[in-house]
Amino acid sequence: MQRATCKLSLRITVLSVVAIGAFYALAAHCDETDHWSFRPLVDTAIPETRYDELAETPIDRFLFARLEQAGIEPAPPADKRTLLRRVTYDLIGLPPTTAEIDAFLTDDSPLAYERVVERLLASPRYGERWGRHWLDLARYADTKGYIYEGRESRRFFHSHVYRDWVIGALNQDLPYDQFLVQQIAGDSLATAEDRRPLAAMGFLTLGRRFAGNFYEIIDDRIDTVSRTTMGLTVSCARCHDHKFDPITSGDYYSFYSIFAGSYDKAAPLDRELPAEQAAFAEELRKRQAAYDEYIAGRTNDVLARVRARTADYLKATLDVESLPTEHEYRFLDADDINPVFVRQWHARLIRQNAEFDPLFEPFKATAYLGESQFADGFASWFSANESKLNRTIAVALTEGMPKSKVELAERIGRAFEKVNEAALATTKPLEPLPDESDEAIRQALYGPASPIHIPEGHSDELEWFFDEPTRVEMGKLQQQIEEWLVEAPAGAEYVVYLADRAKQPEPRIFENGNPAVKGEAVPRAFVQALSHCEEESFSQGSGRLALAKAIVHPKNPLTARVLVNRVWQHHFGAAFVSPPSDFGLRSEPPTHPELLDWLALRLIESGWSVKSLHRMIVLSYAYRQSSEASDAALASDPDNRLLSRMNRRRLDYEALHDSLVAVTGWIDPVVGGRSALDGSRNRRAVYAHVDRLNVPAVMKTFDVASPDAHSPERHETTIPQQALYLMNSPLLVERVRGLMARPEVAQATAAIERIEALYKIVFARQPTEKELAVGAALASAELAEPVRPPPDDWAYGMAGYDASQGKVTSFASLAEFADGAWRRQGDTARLDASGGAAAADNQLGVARRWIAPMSGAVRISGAIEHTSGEGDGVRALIVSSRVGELAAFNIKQSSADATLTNVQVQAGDVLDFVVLCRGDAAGDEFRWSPLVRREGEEVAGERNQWSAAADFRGPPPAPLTPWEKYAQVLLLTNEFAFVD
Amino acid sequence: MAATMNRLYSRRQWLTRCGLSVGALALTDLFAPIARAEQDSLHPLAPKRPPLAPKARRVIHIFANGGPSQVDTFDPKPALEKYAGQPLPQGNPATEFKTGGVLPSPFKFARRGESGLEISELFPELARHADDLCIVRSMTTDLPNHEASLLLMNTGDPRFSRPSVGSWVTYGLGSENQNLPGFMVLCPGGYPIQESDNWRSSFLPGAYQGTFVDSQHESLDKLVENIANPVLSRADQRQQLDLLAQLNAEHAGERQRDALLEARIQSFELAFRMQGDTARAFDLASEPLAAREMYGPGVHGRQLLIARRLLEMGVRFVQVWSGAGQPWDDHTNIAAHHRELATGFDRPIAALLADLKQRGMLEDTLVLFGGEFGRTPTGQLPDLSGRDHNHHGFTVWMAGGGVRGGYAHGATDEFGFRAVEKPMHVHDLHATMLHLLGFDHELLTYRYAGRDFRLTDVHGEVVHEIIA
Repeated sequence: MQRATCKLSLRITVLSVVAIGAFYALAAHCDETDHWSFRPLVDTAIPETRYDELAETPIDRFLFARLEQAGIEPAPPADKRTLLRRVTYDLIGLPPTTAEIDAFLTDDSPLAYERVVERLLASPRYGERWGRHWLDLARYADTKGYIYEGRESRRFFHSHVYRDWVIGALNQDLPYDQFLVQQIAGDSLATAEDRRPLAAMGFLTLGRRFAGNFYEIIDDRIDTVSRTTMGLTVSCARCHDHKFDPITSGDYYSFYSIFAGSYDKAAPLDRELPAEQAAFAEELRKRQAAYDEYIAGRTNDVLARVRARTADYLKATLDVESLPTEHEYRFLDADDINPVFVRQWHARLIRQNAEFDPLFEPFKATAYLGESQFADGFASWFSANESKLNRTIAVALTEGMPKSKVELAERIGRAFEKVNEAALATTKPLEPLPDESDEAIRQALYGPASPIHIPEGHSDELEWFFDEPTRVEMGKLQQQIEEWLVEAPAGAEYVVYLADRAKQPEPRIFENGNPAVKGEAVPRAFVQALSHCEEESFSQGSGRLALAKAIVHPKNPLTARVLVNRVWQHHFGAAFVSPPSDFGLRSEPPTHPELLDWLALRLIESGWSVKSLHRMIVLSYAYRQSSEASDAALASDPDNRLLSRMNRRRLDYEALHDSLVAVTGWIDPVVGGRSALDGSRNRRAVYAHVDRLNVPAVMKTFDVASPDAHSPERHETTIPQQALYLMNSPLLVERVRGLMARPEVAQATAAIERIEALYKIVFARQPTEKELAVGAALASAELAEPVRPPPDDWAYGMAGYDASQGKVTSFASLAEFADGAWRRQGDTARLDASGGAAAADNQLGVARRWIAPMSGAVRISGAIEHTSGEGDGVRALIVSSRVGELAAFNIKQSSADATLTNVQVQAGDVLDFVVLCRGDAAGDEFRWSPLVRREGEEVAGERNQWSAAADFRGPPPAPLTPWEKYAQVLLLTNEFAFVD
Repeated sequence: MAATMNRLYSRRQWLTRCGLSVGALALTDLFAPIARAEQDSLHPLAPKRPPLAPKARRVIHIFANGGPSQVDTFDPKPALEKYAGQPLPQGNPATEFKTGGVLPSPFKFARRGESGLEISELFPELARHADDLCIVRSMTTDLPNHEASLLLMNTGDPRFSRPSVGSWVTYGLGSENQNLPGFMVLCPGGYPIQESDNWRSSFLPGAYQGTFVDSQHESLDKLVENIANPVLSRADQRQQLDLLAQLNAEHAGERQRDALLEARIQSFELAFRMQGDTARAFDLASEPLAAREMYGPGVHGRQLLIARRLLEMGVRFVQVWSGAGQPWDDHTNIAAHHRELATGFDRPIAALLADLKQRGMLEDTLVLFGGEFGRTPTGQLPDLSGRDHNHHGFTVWMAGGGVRGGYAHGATDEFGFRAVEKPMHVHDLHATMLHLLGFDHELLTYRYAGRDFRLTDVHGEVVHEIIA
């Protein structure tokens, strides 16, 4: 097995140590594991400092010690209002309510602050806030990223079960070691009674699917696990040993084999579905059975074909490295040599075993012979070893010594094929053959260890084993299962977890990361530099449970340090170690190494209680300091590395979104549940649907973590698109109106009183005299200008139709708009983007009106369709204001092509697309969204076509009132967006 | 992390620095790390000077997604006639599907311009600009699949989440117009294959992500999100921002000067101006009739004219796609469909080149045209009416931005299947593009997950022969 040598890393270790300088003495010998983060945790005595009387917790004395050295004084404490806002945002991601502010400001007890902290830690909102931090690390999303259309569902079914598990675990203060073990090996911990640990495994299974490329799926899992838990960039060792850190390619492929030894499996979270979901369960069973039956049949067929061509497959192994891997999609016919089986054969041929292999030893023995040496080399090897070989193989080789590797593969392959034919001829291929040697061969073709097998897994991983038509069909069947699951009734929750494979792969290095080029075999084990944490053998199953236990082993110094660093990062807006998911040799050394270790040890002592860790931190003096710096502190520590003050922070996307909901007083208090597809209206941002391929622009704009990969810290950019969102988005208007509708605001009659109510909600304080004056001035003034709605060439109304004249004699706009359609109150009449429904009237029809903005000839196209089985259908008309009725169609459970060419219009003319009831008012829904297009050459720079579907709009939103215009400004302020 | 770095200033420090920070967007040196970090978080799109002398200052990448056929467009192969219907003498290289006998091009080639570059009849208008074109006939990529090849062309990596070329370029150079996104992506009708992965910023900040515009739309509010306020007039919004500035000033006055607070104050003023600039960029009615006619009707004429306006207004990187899905993916019926596609593009692209030239912009605008790969000279089985994907050899062309006009670089074999002379991998194309923009591709890096990442990973050679 490859292990890191000192050559490369010596220089780097020395350089880093110099950089660490003040904190660590020079390493005594060349060993990367002597890097600070790999050393055991050190319990330093709490220092004594001149500021000790300010100290609230031991944390302060560690911080003060550094400040004292640097000659900087700690900042004064923050005022109570600032502190309450800070700790509330920090712990639950929401602003304090006015009642909470009043209670805290009037509570003079020395325990007032502690009580607030306890209240916040006990709030279910806590898990929603800190769960979101964790979901960034877990690269959580509700969709799979790019997949092939028609092969599976784009969405994960029930990804929310994992999100809710995280929130619940944090709310319950599940010890952090268990929190991790369940997420990595929940399958080993789940019992018949409690299957919740399976939900935890979304941590592994909700990553990108890479269109079924399992090398990438596994790489993503290795990266997520190692960076999240230990701050180790194990993925850097995929192609070669890590350039800087003590992580070898062997370590990577050891991890790789652990995850390659597991497969994705779907299961209901509750063992028994409630009786009312029987119909759902039955349909699911049917769809699953259809898939299983199809795969079983195709598997038998494929395996039979591969067995029958053993000679071709053995020959193909000679050139295995030239075959395309799963990185490349090739269309395969059923008769093509499938590279996946060639690689399985190859893995079998190079399998590590000390004993002589009577079937395949000839391949191993001649692997290193050149073609020119082969004939002689093989002959002499054969004469020395013939007696140890399988008789059938030996006989086949004796019939004519192979002169080349190809011939060797051909001979042995043919011998296999003959035995296979004999076995099939018995019509019971699974019966043992009488001849012992033949039986050994039959076992190699059919037995549990045969390379001719298809492992367990999701269809997107298994499709590589099949020809193109099978891939398409299995994908279709898989999609039917998944789409059914996505729509499962509430209460029937399914999870995808990892289960250990029956047959574990042999771990081998892929040279340069190329799976076609197998290198050395490696033991399945923990990162060698941390081998002292490995207590259990990794040979049990896939080894995932042993891996999880090694990660949380008390002697593993990384896990506790990494978590403490993350929690600190979120409380102070700055971490001890940065970047927080790289504790390797290239990361910055910790700013406060003794404190980091002291907290890590206390975390472990507390039984890994994350809430205890929060308590220690937020109760400290340091946390309660003002964010204003003295000039001296600014001069000597401008970046505030020593924390002589609190860092001012801007609300992240979630806190901003949630605050905007909170000011309306409408925030939805339900914890958990399926992702909100509608942009989560009044739900907290943590519940929004996250589509990997289509992260809403507003989220990207506000620097939400990319769900493509583990994300340890967010960017914090300031760009005008953020401002545009706050200034112009319809959602903001909705929030502003919600704020103005709150009783304390709406019922305030005097302007001053109303502004005070707004300030209390938005800023948790009284306005100043000046703020009152400027606010009242704007809110009481008339609007400067009316708003102009965007130009629209379409109108929606009820048209009176006079059949005798063939003319529309009246047109009354529809006044009501709801659920994406224009409607008439108390009636079926409706028009939406794709069609509508007629009114119960044969003279007054629903009409979509196009108002010509130009003069010339147009062509009208688009089919009208009536599908309802009820009633007598509808009558559709196209009527021009210039020439009258142009066309009429009576349709009933049928469709008509409503195409008209060369229709002459003058600017201002209208064309009405009228639909009338035909007597029976039932079942009058129709589909009709006409397209109007200019005839002949298009005119550059002008509109050339008008699509009823694409141009469809609801009514323009109501303009803001002066008060709403004013209230919006408060939500745009820095005071609202920043926490001191 | 960057957010807290050197953010607060004493008043004296502030006065000496505010010229740099407050809306000023002064050019900064890419290699002054502290200033750089601060600029990146507060003004991520502030224009930056590249370390080397640039030949190109902006890029337009016209993406013929789906994979146009080189032997039908810019890489003439007379041998195809001779071998019509026969398999290639050395056997057909493996591609995604199986291909059969040679399919000669249904299109005629002719020498064009003083340079005599051969271009097929599919691009008669573009061919008038032959002397400006630098045709690379020896491109190669790794795999014959759309997904991997789109990602490689757009992000330099076929599999992982990596920043796109446009993101790297705007990260490196910022943008010349703070009132518009620095990197815009126009595609009519929806997303191409692999969707927004093609213009993602990945681990770079979101400000460098391509801003997607569905260019089939014609009304501004459907083209760009949140660009106008539907419920308040501009005059009233101005009053809002005046009050906002006042309230923010009060708030800031009670605190130490904080660059982050200042930047956010500025961002509202920028946003207000951005509404006007964006509306202007997309408003083709203000374009003279002659220009509109030169670009022609149809969606490509419209979107390339918008693209030219964006470039002129200072957007750093514009990517214009052929359409949703994979329009050029002609596995069957290539004769009719390639003609249809080329006809839609030919006049607008020719107009773009003429327009840029006329405005003196062509010399420092790098125009790149191409797909994610090419197509096989052999016909795809069973009916041989189309061509399969070909990663072994394909063609892209460039114009302007310091490239050598009237020049064909490299060559494929006699059938146009494999690049054999001066093969140029996608990484080499990226290295060369960055070079033209003033970067050493090995030094434009970003530290993430324990590594310094770059567009070209560990690959890429600058191809100096294609530089004028």
